Amino acid sequence: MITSQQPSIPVRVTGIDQVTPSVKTFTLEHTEGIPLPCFSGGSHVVVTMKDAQGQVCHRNPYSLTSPPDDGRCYRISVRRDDAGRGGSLFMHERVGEGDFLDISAPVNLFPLNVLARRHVLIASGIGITPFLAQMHELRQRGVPYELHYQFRDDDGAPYRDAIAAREPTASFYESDQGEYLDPLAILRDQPLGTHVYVCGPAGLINDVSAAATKLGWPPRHVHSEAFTAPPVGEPFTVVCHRSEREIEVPGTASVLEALEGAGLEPACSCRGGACGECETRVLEGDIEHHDHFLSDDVKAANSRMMICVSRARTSRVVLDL
Amino acid sequence: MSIPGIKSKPVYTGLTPDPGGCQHVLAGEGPGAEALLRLRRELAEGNDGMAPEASAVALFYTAGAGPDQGEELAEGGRDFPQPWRFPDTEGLCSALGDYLADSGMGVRLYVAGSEAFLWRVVATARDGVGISEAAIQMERCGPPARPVCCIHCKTTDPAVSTTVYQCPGCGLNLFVRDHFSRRLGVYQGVCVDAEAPGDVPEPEELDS
Ligand code: FES
Repeated sequence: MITSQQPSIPVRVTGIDQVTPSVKTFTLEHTEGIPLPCFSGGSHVVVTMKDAQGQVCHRNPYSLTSPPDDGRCYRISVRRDDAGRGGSLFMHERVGEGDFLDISAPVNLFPLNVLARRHVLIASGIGITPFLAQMHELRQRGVPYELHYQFRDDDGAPYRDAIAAREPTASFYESDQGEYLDPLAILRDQPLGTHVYVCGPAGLINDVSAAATKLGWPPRHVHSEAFTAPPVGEPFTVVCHRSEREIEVPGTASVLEALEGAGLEPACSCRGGACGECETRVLEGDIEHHDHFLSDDVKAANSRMMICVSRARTSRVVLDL
Repeated sequence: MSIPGIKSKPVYTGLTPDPGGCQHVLAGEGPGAEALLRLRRELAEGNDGMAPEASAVALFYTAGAGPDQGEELAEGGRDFPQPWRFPDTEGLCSALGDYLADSGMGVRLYVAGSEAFLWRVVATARDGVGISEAAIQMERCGPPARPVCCIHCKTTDPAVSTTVYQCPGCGLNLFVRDHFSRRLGVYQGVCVDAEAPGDVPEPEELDS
């Protein structure tokens, strides 16, 4: 199990490609030139960014897009988000070739089902990233698949040309040209044993799940990349009951980040509300839940929270930490 | 004598209609007919008391080792499509496989019968056609006999009712372990008197 307590992997940025005006791809190699662990398609790493003083300023998860069996380097693609919390801007503006970063070992919360007979991959925009590695894997294993790739315009379509050249099964939908993918049409005649995977905005995930449900697909055949970037919100205070500490959470940081900033090391892995590692008991306070992990009942009871993405609705929460 | 708490031992629940499915395929053996009748009634109730469309329900039945309740299935649901009846499990599975090969992702398979029958049908649907176990429900009916595979000669006895039993393939006295292979659909039978040949404990009835 990978948590923030475990040693990270030191890497050097050996290449940066501007794949579209808003997307850069970073090539990472181990600082000592030793091979990086192989992974499975759909895995992500958490990148730790440090400011000029060496203080950790951002930790963001990014899908690995390089071939999973190639340990010489990893590649991640980062879309610049000017309204975000600053991690992607840091990657775009402050990280150059030759710079050093720390990454976690790969973790896969979006794996391909190994028993599936066919895979339908549905991506929107930067959501293409996990599928780049998965398509390598599927090609190698010789399992049939098809890709449906929705984007707004050329800027929003990283790797479109490379995919078009390499993937005969890919369909492209450019919304600025009035083209939209139709989940019902895509899923309707799929044979038994098919699994579908979606990575993109919540609206697309909901549309695909709704279509699958309507056609009677068993829920376990429908997969979505669930992790989300922590939202910004109002500042509040976290009281750590067991360690008797009070920590301020600024509007632009998550509880997890604020605790780490204060020197604590809570268990965590995906940092995106999907893996369940950071589940924490809430002793007092109302929670604004943003995760995909806790059940609706637990969320309503406010008895637990995922500190990587969820925030307090009250000015103060007491956690069992 | 069996070791409690072995996780691979399957737990069978009753069949219940999966409202998420669009096409319901029922397969039964011998006394499994009663479970299928009950399920078919519940499917109709879930459909406002109407029998679901003919294309949405299909029923495959074999008497197996008996009793033959095919007549009850045929009479019990005049509004339903007639069951397809087969002399044996092999015939049933080959017809079922052909039928499922033409179905889509909305199919749900419900199986009722002896443990050997359940897993024979699962192998047809899962390995033959690609239905995942997420879309299959099973209810074990009839006496608690188990399919057991001798780990020494690989002979499977489809209906073992005691531990210890004698392997029909190699004649060894086998202890029935609760370890179950979902892929093969069998429990493991292991020689019970390897250390002290001839020292064979009294067979005990398997009760579950
Ligand atoms: S770290 Fe994965 S859910 Fe919070």
